[in-house]
Amino acid sequence: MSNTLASKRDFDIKKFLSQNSIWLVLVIMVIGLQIVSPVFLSTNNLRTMLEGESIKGILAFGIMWTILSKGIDLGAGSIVALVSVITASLVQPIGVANKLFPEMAALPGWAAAIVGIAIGALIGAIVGTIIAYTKIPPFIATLGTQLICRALAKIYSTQPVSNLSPDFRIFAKGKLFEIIPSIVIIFLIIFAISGFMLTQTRFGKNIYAIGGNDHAARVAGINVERNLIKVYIWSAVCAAIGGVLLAARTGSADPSTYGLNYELDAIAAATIGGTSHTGGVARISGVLAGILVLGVINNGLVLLSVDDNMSNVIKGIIIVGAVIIDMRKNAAKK
Amino acid sequence: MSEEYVLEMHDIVKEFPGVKALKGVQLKVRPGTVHALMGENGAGKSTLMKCLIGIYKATSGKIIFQGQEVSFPNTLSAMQAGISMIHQELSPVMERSVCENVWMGREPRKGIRVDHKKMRQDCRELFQKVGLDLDPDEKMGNLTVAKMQMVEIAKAVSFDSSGGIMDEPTSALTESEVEHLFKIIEDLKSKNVAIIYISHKMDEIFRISDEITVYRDGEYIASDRAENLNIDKLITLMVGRTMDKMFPKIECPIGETVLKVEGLSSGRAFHDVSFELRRGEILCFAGLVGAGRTEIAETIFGMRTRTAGKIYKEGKELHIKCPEDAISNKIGMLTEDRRGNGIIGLLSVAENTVLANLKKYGFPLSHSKIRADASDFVNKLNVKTPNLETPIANLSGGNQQKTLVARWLLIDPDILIVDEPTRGIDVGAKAEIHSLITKLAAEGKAIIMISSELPEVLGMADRVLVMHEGTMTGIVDREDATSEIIMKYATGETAPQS
Amino acid sequence: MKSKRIMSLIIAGVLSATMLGGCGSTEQGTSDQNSSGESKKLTLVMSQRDEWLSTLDAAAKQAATDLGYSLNSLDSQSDANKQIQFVETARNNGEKAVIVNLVDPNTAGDIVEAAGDMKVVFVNRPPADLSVLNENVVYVGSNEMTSGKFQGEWLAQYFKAKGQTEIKYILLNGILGQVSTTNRTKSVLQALKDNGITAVEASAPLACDYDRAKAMNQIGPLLSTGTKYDCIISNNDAMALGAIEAIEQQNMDPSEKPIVGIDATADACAAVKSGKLAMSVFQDPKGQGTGAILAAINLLNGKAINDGIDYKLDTENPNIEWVPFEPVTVDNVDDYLNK
Repeated sequence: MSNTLASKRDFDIKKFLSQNSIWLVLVIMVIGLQIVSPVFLSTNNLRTMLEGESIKGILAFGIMWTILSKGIDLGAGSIVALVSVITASLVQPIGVANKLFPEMAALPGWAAAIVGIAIGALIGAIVGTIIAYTKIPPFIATLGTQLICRALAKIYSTQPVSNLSPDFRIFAKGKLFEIIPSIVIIFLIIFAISGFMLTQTRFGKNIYAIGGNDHAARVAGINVERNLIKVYIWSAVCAAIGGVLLAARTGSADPSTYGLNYELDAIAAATIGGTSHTGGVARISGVLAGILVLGVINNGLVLLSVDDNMSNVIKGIIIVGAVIIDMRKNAAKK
Repeated sequence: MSEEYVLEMHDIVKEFPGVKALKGVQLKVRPGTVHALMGENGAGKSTLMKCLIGIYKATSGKIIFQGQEVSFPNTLSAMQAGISMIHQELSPVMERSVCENVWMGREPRKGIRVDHKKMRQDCRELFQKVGLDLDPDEKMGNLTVAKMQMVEIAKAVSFDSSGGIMDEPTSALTESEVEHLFKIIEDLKSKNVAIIYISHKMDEIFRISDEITVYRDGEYIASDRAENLNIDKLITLMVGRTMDKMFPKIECPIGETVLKVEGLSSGRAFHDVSFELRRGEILCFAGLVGAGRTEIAETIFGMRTRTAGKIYKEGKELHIKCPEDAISNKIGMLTEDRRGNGIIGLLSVAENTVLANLKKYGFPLSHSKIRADASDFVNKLNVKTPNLETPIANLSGGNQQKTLVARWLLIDPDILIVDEPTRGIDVGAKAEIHSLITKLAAEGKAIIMISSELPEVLGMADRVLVMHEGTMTGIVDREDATSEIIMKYATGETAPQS
Repeated sequence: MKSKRIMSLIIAGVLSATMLGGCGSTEQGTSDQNSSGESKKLTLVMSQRDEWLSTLDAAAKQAATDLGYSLNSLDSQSDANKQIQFVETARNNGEKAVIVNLVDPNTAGDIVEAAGDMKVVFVNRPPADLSVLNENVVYVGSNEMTSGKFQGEWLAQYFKAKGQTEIKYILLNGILGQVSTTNRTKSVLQALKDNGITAVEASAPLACDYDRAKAMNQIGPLLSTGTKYDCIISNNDAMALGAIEAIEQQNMDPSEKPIVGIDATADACAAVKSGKLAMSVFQDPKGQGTGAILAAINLLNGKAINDGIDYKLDTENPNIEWVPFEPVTVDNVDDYLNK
């Protein structure tokens, strides 16, 4: 028996392709685009694409956990708005126009970022607790977050908060080796953390189990409630990081438009990347591919001067197609 | 020649991705007979039936029903043609009424409106016909599993089929309900209905079947009249080798008390249950379905709230609120509903094995240690799996069960509760699980085993605790235990106080 | 297994086909750029596409075509981040000028930075910080401070004619926090004051996000509870029309008390003609769109930004080009009905 176990671990090309079909799609798209628009693979353009997708990508690395646990997080976009407005208000130097708190000195950039992330964590803890203990559908609970956080952002400031201090903006505007934008590095760090937690920690395994069969997970001694709370904290923290970065990148924070519908794009990326909405299935590499596919579509269609409504048509086709494949792949196992 | 059979299946092949589940099997059923399909789990019986009624489409092969070649696109068309199936896994809509469940998808209508009055009346007539005493408006979810099973059977009867398939119909039924079912089957037989009967219970097979076809590993093995076979011959055909003893009980010394339960109650499920469990002992909970046996186990394990009573382990009182607490006190529980709260189907065999014990693998998790432990248990417990990464849902029931046993062994429990450990598992795996449990007891673990199969209880138990409708009616020692005594207590007679 | 692979292939095929289909339609533009060296391509990055902005968009496209340029118009969907990304992508694509309808006026500096060597024309929404403007970065739009002024002046005249100097108004605000909302509200109240009218709120200001349905829902309850007011001031026509709907639903006559809007949309003009809407202010989307394209091309050719069009530069800042507002009343509405 042990012999068979060892021999069957050999690399299986068919399985590899079926599990990574999204990467195949990505490669085809990249090759096609490069042929018709040679600037596509230029350093500048790749940087633009990654910078632009980083924030939604970070959200996707959080939201995928909620989907994995058979939930959803519709509140992420509003958390982006709330955190961006609050954080921005803390880093307005004294004397600038439209300062929200005219008397208050600007906090150091890192301190404001920590405050923003802490607020995200708090929101996540609250919504996670509600979901875990009242058992209301995550769809509803996070729809509540969406409305409440957006409103809180608008209450906090009725106008865009701008003129942010340079030591805050460095989070998004800095560059490593003069070439890699810091926002992309943070994106990669969140990717690494999320992937590490997913595959290398007990927390990750617990969430796979809860998403796969929460009753069985409970019987196996997993504290389902506590783990679900952690999931929503993580998702909200990712959104908060997104909020901090969005304010840092644009140098402003508009409570009414920032983060609008970001959660939908993040959900789309996670879904295209093979995160199953029936729970229990997710791969971090898939989600990364999903983010890149959406990025390539957004970027490529601009380069090709294609009507932007078309881009949504294509996005729609990809999302539905991805879910069809996903369902077929997992149908036999359910 | 072909008129002799109501149903013929020839050279049926069914391929799943990576697996050839049926490798060209055949089946010939005569009208007015009960035809038993036998084979270990994974032999292909259920798959063959699913190909027949249109849940799966056979990759190749020929199906001839009532002299005509057929291929049903779905179960409804199979039912309309006269073949209905009672599934192994019940799938009723819990939130709707019994009556709606019976007529689902074919509700009688008046114009475009559903005729609820007729539906209810037809349902009453149907229940009368099969002798089921049930209110059509009762919510399905309120029924016991046994009653649900009877509703499913009634539903199958309602189709006036010329062929019926029963896949493990008695798995949740009590003895009297089984008798009732057999009466229904006799009645159907007399109406020239052919019945395909799948079960792992040998005594049932030999009682009601006229012919038996045996499959093994997706292949057709043999077909014969029941009177030409006996249990030993049948088992040999099924497993392809002669079996060891079914209940390989090892006599071992019984140690000190590990678990002491005093006056335990949980709501209306059961009340005032007291017993002691000792090291090396197998304590069986016997009783009819719904007597509260599972509920006692769930309460000890923290899945159910304790409303009264105390639980002591090695003299210390335990305050268990959730399975997590139970596990940290080295209590494991193999639950009855393997798919519902046992396995996590999408996760791999390895991941399922270590799930209750992830603490052991550190931060970050040591995947090599996980693999080592999982592969160790896969070998030790003889789990048949293509590899450790295979999703557990792809394994047969017996192998899933063995993986779950491995999960609990990994926490090195002092007390292991096993609830119906051999339900729906084929004969070969059954004996393996029995011998595993016995070995564990011999190693000094204390075992609580819940079983509805009397031979299993009698074969395995050191002592038998018998429940009747939430009350403990007696504890019987191994040497005193007979099926008569246990049945007597199980039906409500209490043991003389001593 | 097979079906899965086929499915992936189909999807990949559909994608490629759609994308290649997209390419086909733009082959012309791409090859032009490569052969002539001198780029004849412009990019317009819209903040979003409501009715009014779509008119601007269409006019810009038309103007570009007339002048022999191809215009790629993109919708940022109110996402400032996306807008920056679009601008960068245009730069990466080697384009020479970009026209930006800002999502968030505070991000203007970053847009200019992202644009690099490209000429930048801001259209419709001015940068929050006007110091980003220079000979390569200009603004074409209408002065929001004058739109409310027209409303205020009209109302002052109306009430003075009735001999009334104290009025109660209901205010329908656009998206709170947006510069246009703030300025429109500020300027109408200022104009009333300057013309000797004491105006007080009849209710708390209603935030209706420039949305017709929201205005209808918010104003309905005020009417049914009998709130006393003399006029309704709306930050745009859509909300004013919403108010009219709500009033008509209560079987009241919307022409009884004046309602004033801004934008002079086709619907609004019809309402002005029928007397339901007292007046609107015409902000010229076609003028702004055409003006912006012309400004971009003039920048590329080193000419004055208002060269070839009849709009004035700001008296203090030569990098601002004003497209005038015009009041629309029953007297001149016919001129705008077909505009």
